[in-house]
Amino acid sequence: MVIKNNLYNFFYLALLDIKIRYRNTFLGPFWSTLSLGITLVILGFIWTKVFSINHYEYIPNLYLSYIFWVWISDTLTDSITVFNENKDIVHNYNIPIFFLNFKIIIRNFFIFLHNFPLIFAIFYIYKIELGINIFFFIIPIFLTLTFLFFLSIIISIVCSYYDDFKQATLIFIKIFFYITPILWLPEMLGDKQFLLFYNPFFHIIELLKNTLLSPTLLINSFLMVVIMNILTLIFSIIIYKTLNKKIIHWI
Amino acid sequence: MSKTAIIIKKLNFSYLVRTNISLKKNLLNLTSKIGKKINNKNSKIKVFSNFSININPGDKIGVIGSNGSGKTTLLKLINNVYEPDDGFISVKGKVASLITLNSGLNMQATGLENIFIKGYYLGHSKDYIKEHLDSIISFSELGKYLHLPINTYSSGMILRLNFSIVTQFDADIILMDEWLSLGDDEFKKKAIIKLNSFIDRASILLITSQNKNNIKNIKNIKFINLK
Repeated sequence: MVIKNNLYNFFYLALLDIKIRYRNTFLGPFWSTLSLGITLVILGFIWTKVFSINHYEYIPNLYLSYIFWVWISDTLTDSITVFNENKDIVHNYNIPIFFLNFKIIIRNFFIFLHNFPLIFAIFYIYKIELGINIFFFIIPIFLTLTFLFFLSIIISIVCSYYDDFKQATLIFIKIFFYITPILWLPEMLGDKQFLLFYNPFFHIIELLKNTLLSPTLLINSFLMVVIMNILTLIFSIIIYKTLNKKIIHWI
Repeated sequence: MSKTAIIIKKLNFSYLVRTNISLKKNLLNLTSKIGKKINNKNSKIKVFSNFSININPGDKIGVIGSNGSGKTTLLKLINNVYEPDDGFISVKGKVASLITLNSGLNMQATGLENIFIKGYYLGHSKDYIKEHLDSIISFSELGKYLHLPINTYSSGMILRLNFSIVTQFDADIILMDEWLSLGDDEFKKKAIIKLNSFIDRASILLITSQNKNNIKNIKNIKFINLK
């Protein structure tokens, strides 16, 4: 009952966060859509010219991967400082602190939803048929949300203990941006493609992207995402159970 | 519902003080097992050891102690913000904490939005907050200011808002840090009456103070001294 109540409450709190943050702006949360849109147009133009790539294949992949990546990396970046930023709440309210992670997940998800016009624009421009896949899209979205939630708990707890991890996590996020096929296509790795198998974000982005782009389900990536969910779930439960009441002493 | 009560048995609690925690030192310690270890321990400050108390319905307790004696810590332990290292704490009843009254607000949000924000953090549902919204608004006397972001408020106005929110929701157990200093004179009179009725409706009151004299006016108050 308490949990359910808090779930609703933090859901509303996340929406209020967005509303308040963008209140004095003309475009509201669509500012993030606009900035992302501009980045993508410039990136797409330059990269297809510089590398003279066939843009019919490259551009939809680049745009979709980039949009998903922004969602993932923003969520993880927010997780780094979540307890420090909500110190006031942690120190004064009797709330299980993972709800603060839940709030980040919801907030970033709703900002991500504002980027859907971009996705539809790509589909329209490149005449990709949406078909039945759009209905299955909810599955990878849900799996990504849960994975991000578990990972967010782990990151936020570890980062509030070791200050070094705050910096390290930022670097990791940057590294993963380059080693995940976002700016490039997996085929471009040639015989080193097998390395991608060990990159968790490759599977997530591939699964999200392919549900929209191709009619076949990527069984490998799907299974990997499920396994990653289970692993992060177990690890986050362990770390949360042992440390959640200690965090208050660290921040 | 079961009877409101607080039972604390053999409570042990210490603050962890982080000194020189760094990843580098921990890693160095891992690699140099034989050599002398670099000091990288959490030092602890003991606040409670073997502390026990039973608080029954109807008790008004003044917690007296000097700075750093653990008055606020005790209240936060009862509110389940801190977890004891050892021992047993059972709290039955709805707790309202008036410790650091000014917490949980968003300075960019309007007064009205903050009523909801704070209400959510306190664990109340949207409907429940809506039910009490009118009485919070009318008690705070903030009128049209409620539609402005609270970073335009004076500190007195923020206090009014906070006080109105917290005391409007009923509670069985009230935790207070010192007797509140409550803004300008007119509101103060009203607030004291409100606070007294809030306390009367609740079953248990815990109030901290450095000095008995500050809180001896509360009816039937009993004192406990922390070292």
